[in-house]
Amino acid sequence: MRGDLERLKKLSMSLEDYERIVQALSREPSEAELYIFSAMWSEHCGYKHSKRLLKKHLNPPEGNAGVVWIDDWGIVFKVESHNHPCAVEPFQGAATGVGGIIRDVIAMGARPIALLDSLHFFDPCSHIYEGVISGISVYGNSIGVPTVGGEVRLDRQFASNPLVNVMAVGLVKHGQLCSAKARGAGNLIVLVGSKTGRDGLHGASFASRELNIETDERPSVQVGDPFTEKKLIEATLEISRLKSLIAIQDMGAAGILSSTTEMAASGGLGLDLFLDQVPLRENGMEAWEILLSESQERMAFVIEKRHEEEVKKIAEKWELDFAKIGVLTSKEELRVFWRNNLVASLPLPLVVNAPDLSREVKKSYPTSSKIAHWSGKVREHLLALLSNPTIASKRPVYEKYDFAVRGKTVKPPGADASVLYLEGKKGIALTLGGNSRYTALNPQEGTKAVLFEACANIVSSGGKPLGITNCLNFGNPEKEEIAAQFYNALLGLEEGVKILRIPVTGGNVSFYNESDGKQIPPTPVIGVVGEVEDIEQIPLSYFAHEGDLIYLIGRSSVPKNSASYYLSEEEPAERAFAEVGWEECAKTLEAMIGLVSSGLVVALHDISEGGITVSCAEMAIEGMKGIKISTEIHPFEEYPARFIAEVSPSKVAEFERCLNDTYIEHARIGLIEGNHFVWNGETIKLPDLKRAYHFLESFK
Amino acid sequence: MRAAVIVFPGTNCDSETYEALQRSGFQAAYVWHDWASLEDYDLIVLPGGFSYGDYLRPGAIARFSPVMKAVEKYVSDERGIVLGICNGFQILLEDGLLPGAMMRNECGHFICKPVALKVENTQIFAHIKRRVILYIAHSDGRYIADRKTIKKLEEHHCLLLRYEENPNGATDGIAALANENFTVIGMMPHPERSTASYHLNLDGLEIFQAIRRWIHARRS
Repeated sequence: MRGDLERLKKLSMSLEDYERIVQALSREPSEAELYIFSAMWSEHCGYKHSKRLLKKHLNPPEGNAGVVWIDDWGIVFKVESHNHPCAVEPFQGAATGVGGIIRDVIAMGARPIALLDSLHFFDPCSHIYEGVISGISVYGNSIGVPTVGGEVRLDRQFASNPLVNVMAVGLVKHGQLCSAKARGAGNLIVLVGSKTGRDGLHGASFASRELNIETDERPSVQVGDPFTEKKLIEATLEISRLKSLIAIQDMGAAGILSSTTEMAASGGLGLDLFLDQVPLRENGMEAWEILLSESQERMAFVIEKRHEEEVKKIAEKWELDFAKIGVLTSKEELRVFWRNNLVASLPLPLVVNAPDLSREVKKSYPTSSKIAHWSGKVREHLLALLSNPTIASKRPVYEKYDFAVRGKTVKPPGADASVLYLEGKKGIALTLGGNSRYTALNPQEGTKAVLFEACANIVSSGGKPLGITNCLNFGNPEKEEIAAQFYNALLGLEEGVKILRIPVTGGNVSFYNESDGKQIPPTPVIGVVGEVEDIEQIPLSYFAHEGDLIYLIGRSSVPKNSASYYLSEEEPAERAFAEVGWEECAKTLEAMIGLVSSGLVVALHDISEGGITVSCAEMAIEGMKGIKISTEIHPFEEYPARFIAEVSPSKVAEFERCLNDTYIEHARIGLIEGNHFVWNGETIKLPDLKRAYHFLESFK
Repeated sequence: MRAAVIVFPGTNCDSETYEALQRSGFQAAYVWHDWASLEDYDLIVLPGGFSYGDYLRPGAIARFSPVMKAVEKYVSDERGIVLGICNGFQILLEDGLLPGAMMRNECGHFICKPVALKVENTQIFAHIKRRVILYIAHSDGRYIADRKTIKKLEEHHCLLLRYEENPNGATDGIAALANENFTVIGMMPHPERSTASYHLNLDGLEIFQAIRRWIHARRS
């Protein structure tokens, strides 16, 4: 097999990795063994270019998903990408993306309560756009988990490399949290769920290289069955409450192989796998195909020996397949048996610890402190911004998702973070977002801005950020430029969470988002979970009462930011990200949490793409209220941690006192009045704004 | 008053329906789809979801579930009221307990949004407000029936709710209906999503409470 470069190429394995394997084993690997390494050492499973750096800079706790706590409730959440499959088969790619991340949440023993998606496309008429959205709709709706938020961004740079990042959120009572750590040699590994077929073979290595749509050898994308998933959710939650249950792991990339080896390895044990026991969907499958299959809707459990009947009974109730497929051993070794032969026998630490290829490529990206000015009219720019597909209302998208199933949706999608009811007066605020314009211009500062924007969304919806997760989407990390983007984005995230004093509970990395020589801009996507103390205090996200005053909170005079939307068509000679006072931004967020809980704002909306005019217009359109604004503040410039607030005249004194006491900059910019949108004397009719903002309705 | 929430594999509106029934003064219980007897209950609710994945046609497989035999007997014995919501309505149509059929939405895709409904002046809903706003959430909510059937339903005042703005192309905007003796009710909107203080409104609570009063009235 030595020198069989074609074969290695087909497995996306480098010659260096092959030589490492031969050296470590002091022998040539068998065919099955080579396939095992090709999957476990792929970027997708092995995190070769990221694992060390993630640990060093973010150090998230281990586990299938992150957890934050509100009283006795654990909120479990994680984001995962399904970018490559969606480029090939948008509908199934998105559907199985939803299914996969849901299984991460149930593996923690948590009931899935919400989904959010961050979607990056180019063309709202494309089959990718339509396929992904219907894939999410069909799968998410069928399993009865509300899709409550996320984002849809449209940018030319995602034309052939769409990004589909899905966040799942689950709820688990204290004491019922499950782990993925095996213990006790002699205990059993069992499989529950669908039969195993040839679908999704090579999925892990497929996602670990640049995409080439033209080649014939592309793997089949997995096919999802939401009905089986729904049964698997219920069965897994029942199994998770068994006293004899030790560990749970979902079967994602590299299916049986990675789920079982990860559980055993994290417990410092080894395992024997008996592939003849695995219920198969097709005849004539090879050992490696069974190991690597990414057939959907399967879970792996470690159960105390002699207790497997308890699991079997639950599987039978839910009409799911059950099989005893392995046993834990005390020696840290992976042994695979197939047709009475030992087809693989490998040291487990070698299998689960892929070589570290990460690099710390520091690079400085320009920032600018030059203050932005504006003196012209706003109408033309404002209408163009509102009808920009990234900014325009996403109602035609989220109405295809059942965002209210389970009956806990307090604040539906549409503006800022969504809120779900928890218990008593408490709620859970959720958001997920990225901004590739920012992170492309300056990965470090841009990533901080994405983080602050996500937290501002939580604050606008009456929440206090508790923890964050992330999905880091980049191009080919073997390239110097991409390695620099990744490293600097990580540094930005590390600095950001330190300033905000908020933990990173987990994350996911997606590299090799490239095809036809085109790569995506660096796109870290950040998900935040927040606690809402009192759901009755959640501010409105639209203007409500004539006569109320309109305030800008946050910095009024801001530096020019070349990533701002109003500059989208310009190509300035010197492109630079705004110089941002992050400590001051963090203080603003903190002060806003206080203002909201004191009930001092009627409505609140954070300022993001398009600056203060777009935020005001969104609030006017949704509330169907005219406003009159008089201000020198730049109408379109973007800067983090800024808000538009509606304050009732009776609360103005207290509102201002609170902000003055905490030294938070604020400015009264106008009031709610009449039927028109009036900006420094320039009148725009509300229906004109509305038509622009609901531009995507025509793509239903 | 006791209410059963029937759970098929693939049902997914069971927990909020259970909670809504409790809020409306019922003593609710879950009943698994293989259950054979429903004699103990005053109200049987077939909740929303995707029973058996809605493969083939929504409700087409669920109607063969053992519990549906019990539901049929419950109806023919006039033991109490059967309420089908969304997928439950689809199952009742497939089972023939209500007339007509359900087709794919005219727009061709799933729709989730609150919609305004006109409450018809019928025996059940005579004493609640004439306009309610409830969530719809379905792909297959276009109710169809031939003219003769519709006419008969109208004559017997069996049409309960109509959409103000028809979202799915349903015949005459029909959103909910009952059989002739008002023991079987089917509705596409989700009243259970409008029963708590943190919901959009409490219009669903009025619907459930009206049904409770109707059960009471039939008894005396």
